[in-house]
Amino acid sequence: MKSRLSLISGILLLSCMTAFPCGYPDPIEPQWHWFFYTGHNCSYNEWQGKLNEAFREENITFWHNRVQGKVSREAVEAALYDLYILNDQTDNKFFRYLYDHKDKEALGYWTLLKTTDSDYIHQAVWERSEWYYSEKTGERYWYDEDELPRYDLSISQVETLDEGAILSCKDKEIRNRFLLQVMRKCFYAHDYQGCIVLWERYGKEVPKSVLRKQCLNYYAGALRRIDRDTEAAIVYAGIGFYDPRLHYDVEVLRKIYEKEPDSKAFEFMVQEFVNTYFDKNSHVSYEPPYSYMHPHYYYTRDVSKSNAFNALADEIVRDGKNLNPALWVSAKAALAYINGDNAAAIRLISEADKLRGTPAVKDNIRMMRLVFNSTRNDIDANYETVLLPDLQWLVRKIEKEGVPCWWEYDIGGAIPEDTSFTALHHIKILRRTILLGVIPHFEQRGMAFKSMAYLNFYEEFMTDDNMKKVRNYARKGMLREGVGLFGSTVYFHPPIYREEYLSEYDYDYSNTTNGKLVLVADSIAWQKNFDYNTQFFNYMDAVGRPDGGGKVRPPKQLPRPQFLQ
Amino acid sequence: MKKCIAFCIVLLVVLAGCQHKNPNNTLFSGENSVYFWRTWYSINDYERQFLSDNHIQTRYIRFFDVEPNHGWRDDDKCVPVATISFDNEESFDNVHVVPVVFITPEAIVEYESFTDHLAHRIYAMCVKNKLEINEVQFDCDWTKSTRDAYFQFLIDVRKALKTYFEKDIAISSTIRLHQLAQTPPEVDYGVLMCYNTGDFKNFNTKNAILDIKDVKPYAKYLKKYQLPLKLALPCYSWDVEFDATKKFVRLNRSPHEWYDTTQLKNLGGGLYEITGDDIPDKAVKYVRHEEVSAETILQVKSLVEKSYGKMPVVLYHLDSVQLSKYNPDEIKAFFD
Repeated sequence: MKSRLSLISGILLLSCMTAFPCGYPDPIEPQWHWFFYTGHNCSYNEWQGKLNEAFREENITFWHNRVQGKVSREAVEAALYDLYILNDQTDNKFFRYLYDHKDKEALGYWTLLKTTDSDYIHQAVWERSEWYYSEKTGERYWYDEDELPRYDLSISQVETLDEGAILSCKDKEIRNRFLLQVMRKCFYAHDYQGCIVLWERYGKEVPKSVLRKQCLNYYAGALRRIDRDTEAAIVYAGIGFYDPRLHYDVEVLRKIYEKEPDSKAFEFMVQEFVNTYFDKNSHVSYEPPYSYMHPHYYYTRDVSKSNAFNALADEIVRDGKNLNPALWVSAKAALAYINGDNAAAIRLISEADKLRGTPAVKDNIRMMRLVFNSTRNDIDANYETVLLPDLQWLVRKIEKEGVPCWWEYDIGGAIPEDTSFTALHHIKILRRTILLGVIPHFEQRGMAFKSMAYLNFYEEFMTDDNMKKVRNYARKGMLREGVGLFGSTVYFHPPIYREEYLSEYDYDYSNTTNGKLVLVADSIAWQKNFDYNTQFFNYMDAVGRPDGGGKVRPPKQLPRPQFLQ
Repeated sequence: MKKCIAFCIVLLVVLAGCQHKNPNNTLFSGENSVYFWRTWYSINDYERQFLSDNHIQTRYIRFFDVEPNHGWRDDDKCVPVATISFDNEESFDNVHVVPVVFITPEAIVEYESFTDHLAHRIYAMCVKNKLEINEVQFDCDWTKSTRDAYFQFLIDVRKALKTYFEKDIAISSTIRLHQLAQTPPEVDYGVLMCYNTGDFKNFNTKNAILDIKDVKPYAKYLKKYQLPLKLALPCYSWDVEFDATKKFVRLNRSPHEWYDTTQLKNLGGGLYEITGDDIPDKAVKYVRHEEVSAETILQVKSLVEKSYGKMPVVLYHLDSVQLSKYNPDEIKAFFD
């Protein structure tokens, strides 16, 4: 029995050694970004949708105020968004009010808009084939190009929606609305230069508002379309948008910082920078002695790039103009970790924790600290004491969030497109910590029981129904693909399962099923109070492995772990 | 003597067989022509003067492209994209307009699904924009595998156009150099495209727009080519951008603002190495600026006309920025 246990432990150790040959590898998901604190919920369409939604509200409010609130908000909304044709016979209360009160500027605006508005065009031809082309002058058609809706505006009415419309309008508020519409027309008519000129000529007069954001959105879009990417990135940053289609290197970040030092979009840009650095410097090899089942994952470093980023981050933190300095220092920590300087990573993440940062950044710092600490070699004596506060915090966070149902979108390590994926990200952090940090840590120190205990805890924790789905899918996926990127517990570690429930803390390592080591523990305790069980396995490791099989009966009452008090 | 007469008869028959097809005179009036390849039909003062000075009566205007439907709607297998918009101020009085439709090779195999739509769309565009036309041109990079589909499309679309316009509409087709080796399509005439002759993505290509070396191998086919031809010559330039590993990055159709000597080290032959920092895209390390000298254009013109005979010329394309690089005498020589 002793030899069997030694053999199993040996396999365990060998497996880990094979999977983690070079210090800080990632045998689970090589393309998975661990510097990730918020979902890429700013894909252009989603961000655009939110902006449009905000503008719709602002627009209704503006026109509702324009009619002194004498027309219901619903009627205003209907007039703005449901009525396609405007004439003086309209029975819409909003327009009737404008006619009755001779609001010529407003009527002029709406008369023009209702004959040119792309929403109208869209609605009017929605059911038509993209081959449709009206033979009648005055009608328009719609078609897709470059996956963006564009509206052909080559009709006589639209020609009047030009700079002259802005100039001839004396009412400043409506004039600004004309600016948006003319910019919009230019954009969809591919006249990007015209769109840019309009903003640069009249934009200064537009006060801070959703309307201004909309104008800037078209302005930035036009800049991007004529390859003035850096300028587009700066303008987008000013309205809190990160455009994944643009390239954000250090120089671009610096230029953005000079113009928009406290842009909300920096979170996405920095995230993208670090993850791109990760992608470009993480590698996998299947060459012998490695294989597809046991690949060799390793990082390289690009010091010039990380140094350039660090210099910018230092400057930003020193300046104090960015109100999220923790972001920059935590990114420095991430780069240090990827570059193999774990000591610097630990020091920097501690520094970042003391700085001001958004809740998302603070959460990310905590998870990064967990990842970093789990691979430390210099804290043997109090390894768990250091680790457990963050680990417990993460476990409770996951329990609170529940298991995301959107996991299928993330197969293959793609960057999540929705903030909901942060929950899945937390599970990944847990998996990484346990499988790449804690288990190898104990294995390398000959503490097989403790190692198995954590693995068992992890398995136990993943017994939730949804978790099972994720795991089963992952297993199927791995079987299909040959190499798993997801939930590789089973493949990178020997199959260890708890298969029986026994009261107290009895366990029987002599019981094997189908060649698998059966480790028995109190499942309730594992799930709800794993730190207590950790204490139990501490005890087991302390008393050493029993000789010759048989049962080991630890004390019925274990002391409560001190770190929980 | 009888033998001599018989020989002469045989010779005449052979020579007659070698003659190119007689072109339709109304289509081949020898007038100068240009392509218009933008998506917004508007002509500036320079271009207007250019048309006038060079007596250009025929404008080949790209109406739209046809490509497979990649959109979310699956009603149509292929869809029109990049449709041109017309400036309402522009008059087409006394102007011979030829709509041109570019069809991708991927789309042409699905021609049955769109032939009728396409004909109706051309008709609708002409009606709406008050264009009187007698001819439509199609542009497709067909090869042996797509040839049958394209040829059948040309037959079908001629019938469809006749239905909508209620008159015969002539059909012409662009002919790429590599297509010269194959049977000509059944059209009224072709326009031989003497441009885009090289692989612009290849770092070692000298000039992908036009290199006489790329044209020479095809000249032999012209001698026996059984289709009346016009000759399209390039008047455009572009920048081809490569990264540090000399891998293709992008094709830039308009010169960069940073295109100056302080940012670039001239490596000769139009190739530049980027040395400055103030550049829009750090990924770009080399730029190959390509344009075609008047001398090269005339050499190519001479080469193909030597094999085929005189051909009316169509310049590609009407763009003041590009055309202004050539002096009036050079332009005149292109058309002569």
